Amino acid sequence: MSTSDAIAANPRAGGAGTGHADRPTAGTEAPPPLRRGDSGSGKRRLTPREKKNLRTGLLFISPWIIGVAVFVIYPLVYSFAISLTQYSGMQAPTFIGMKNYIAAFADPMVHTSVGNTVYYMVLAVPIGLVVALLLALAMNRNVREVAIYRTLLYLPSLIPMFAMSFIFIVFVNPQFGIVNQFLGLFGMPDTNLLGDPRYAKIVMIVMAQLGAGNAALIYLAGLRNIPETLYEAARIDGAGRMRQFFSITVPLLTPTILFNLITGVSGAMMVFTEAFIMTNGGPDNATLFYMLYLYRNAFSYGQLGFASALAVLLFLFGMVLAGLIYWLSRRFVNYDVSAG
Amino acid sequence: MIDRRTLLRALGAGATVTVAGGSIVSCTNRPTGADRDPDTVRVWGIWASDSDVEADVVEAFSEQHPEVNIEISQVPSSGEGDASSVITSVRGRTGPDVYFSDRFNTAQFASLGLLEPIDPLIEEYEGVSPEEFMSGWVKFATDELFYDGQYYGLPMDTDTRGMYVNLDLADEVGIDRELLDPGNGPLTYDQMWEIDEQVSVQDDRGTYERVTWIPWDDQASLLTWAMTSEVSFFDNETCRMLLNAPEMLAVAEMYAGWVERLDFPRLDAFKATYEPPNSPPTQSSFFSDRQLFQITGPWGVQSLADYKPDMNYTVTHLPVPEAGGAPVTWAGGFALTMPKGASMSRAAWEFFKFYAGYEGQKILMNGISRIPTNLETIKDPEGWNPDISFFVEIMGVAKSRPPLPVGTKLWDAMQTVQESLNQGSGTPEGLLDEAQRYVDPTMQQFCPVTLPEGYGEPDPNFDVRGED
Repeated sequence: MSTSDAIAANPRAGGAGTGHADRPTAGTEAPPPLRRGDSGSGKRRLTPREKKNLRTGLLFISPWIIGVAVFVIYPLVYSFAISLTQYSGMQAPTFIGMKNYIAAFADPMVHTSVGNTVYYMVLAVPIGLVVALLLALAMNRNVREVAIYRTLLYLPSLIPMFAMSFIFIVFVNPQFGIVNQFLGLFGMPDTNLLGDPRYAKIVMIVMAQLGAGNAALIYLAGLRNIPETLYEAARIDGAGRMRQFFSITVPLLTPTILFNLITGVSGAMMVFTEAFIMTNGGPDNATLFYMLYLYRNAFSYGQLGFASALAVLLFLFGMVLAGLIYWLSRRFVNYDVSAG
Repeated sequence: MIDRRTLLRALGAGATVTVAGGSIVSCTNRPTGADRDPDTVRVWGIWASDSDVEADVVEAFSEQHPEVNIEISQVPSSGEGDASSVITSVRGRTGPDVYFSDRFNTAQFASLGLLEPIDPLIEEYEGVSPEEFMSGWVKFATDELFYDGQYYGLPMDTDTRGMYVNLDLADEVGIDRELLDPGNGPLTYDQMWEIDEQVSVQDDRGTYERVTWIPWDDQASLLTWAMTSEVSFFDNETCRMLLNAPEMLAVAEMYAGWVERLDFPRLDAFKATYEPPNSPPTQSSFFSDRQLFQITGPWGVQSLADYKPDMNYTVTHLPVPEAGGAPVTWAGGFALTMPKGASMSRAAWEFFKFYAGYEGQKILMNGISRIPTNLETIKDPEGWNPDISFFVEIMGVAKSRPPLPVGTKLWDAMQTVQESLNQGSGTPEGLLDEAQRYVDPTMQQFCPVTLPEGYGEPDPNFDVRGED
């Protein structure tokens, strides 16, 4: 496709244009004149060439469109549809209106699982953001062997969560586990941390930090994106390391923090594997997270309708939360570097 | 701004793509039911550790039916009542023709529409009434497969619960062997506590180094204590769950007293030290001479033979409240079922009948140290491993769980009450009320139900060694 074709496929004229109107496009052809029948609304028909380009463009992104349709939109719509029914997955669904939603709000186990998930999210996400940032700072040191540090710090993130869960069961063995031995130094008696509702979630929150390497890599990219000249200028002005960190690094890293915050929140809402393997929701439902309860309803009790209602509620909650975070982010996110 | 027409167009395009996407997802042409190859039987077999014994059953069957091709897969279940793998495969039209599943879940699975009734196959291929055909198996086991007027499978093994005793440890602390002889009847709870004073050892930090018994470990559970106290979970007359009835409350209060007396966190830490979650079968606090009594099923005999062959042990009855009380226990087990979409072919039925029948059960039960449910196999002196005779003999007093379409939920509810009592996070009364509110509304969706007469009670016709 030639440059002019690409530009033609990106029409700027008219209110319905989808192009980036704010970007100057060198060598732009004159906007096509308005045609008959488009008067007033500022719309126009596509030229044959534009149509061809549109077709080609759609064809190019069709794998993505099909993927999203099959694996995202279709399940989403389907899930919403069966959330209005009583459905075991085997017999014909019976339409019951909003009853599943009403039942979800009344179910005490839903309350427990929401409580557990929010508890996990409120602790695991902020702690994760800080731990990942610390890792990224360590990975960003200007020393010769930095590649080794990066590898070592990232390595735990390569271990799948289910494998990590099995490893952690050994770490928290009441008498022999490394974590318990450490706590024993401070006088803690031999305790089954996974068997105590007060500690089981904490163990999982701590464990989640071993996967911080992924977020750290994203931070690292953000850190490398901050121009060195800013630090030089700050040093000349007499700013210390802490001042540089809080006045340059953190503000310019806020887009990355926002990204990690949203992916972290979304991950925390879907926490499942570790509870499934390490405690199966116990002890005393202390690790019965929302997804685990949803899974049980769908596959142990065969209540696919109810489980889908839970899924739809989680989706809505996630959307609202993401929207809220975006709205709040306008107050703290600084796009100066990334926009440049 | 997007105008109305563009919006409608976008929505239309989105809908088209979604429908097209859906069609791609849901249109598969994998054959199910009668469209499947009738001479190939796809089986989701027994748990992996005993798959070699199952292979012997298949070999014996294949000798008689060389024209039938048996394809065995091991599909592990992640836990009690978890049907995720079979539900997804049946939905994806790749479900098995024969499925080895937990019998207690059958009524629930049948109520979901996950299983096919076998009555038509019995009538077509056996030419007798389903009742007559099913009378060849232990009654409580066929009761568990009965839902809404039809049978949904054939029973495989059953199991009873007994108390294994580490005799060397008992001798070391000087416990009278007479007490441990099942011929002298069960121990009482009071005697258990007396023994506990002799056996339990805690170090100066309060950590248990040796214990007598763990009333919530392995097959010991609140449910076991309720079963042995003859609690009914369900009232057949009113179609109501009875989880907060006075009898159940008395058991829960007794159990809560035990938890307090044994100091749950300490005993739990002991267990997690010597037998952490998902530990290999060789690693157990009982095997490592740190626990005097272990309450489990007949398969314990096999584990001991495999992993601790030199242990000097015996098996006795579960403890009971009063001196002179009759022995009590309960029985469960597995079944063969046919999920929706199964071929239901003659070949599948022949394998089904062979595996759950005399020959199949004889091969399997000897290999896995469990109790047959096929009456002919039970009567055959070579029908099962003679080392489990204690467990077979107490079948005459074994009760079973009511075969309800909310079996899995009932199980989960009892587990939850047990865990909450262990953690002291609620009163027995409050927790049982909650359990009742959790299970009963789901049960009401199925009411009225007709449970088989005499369900849950020991089989009146049970007769070991064929003394008829």
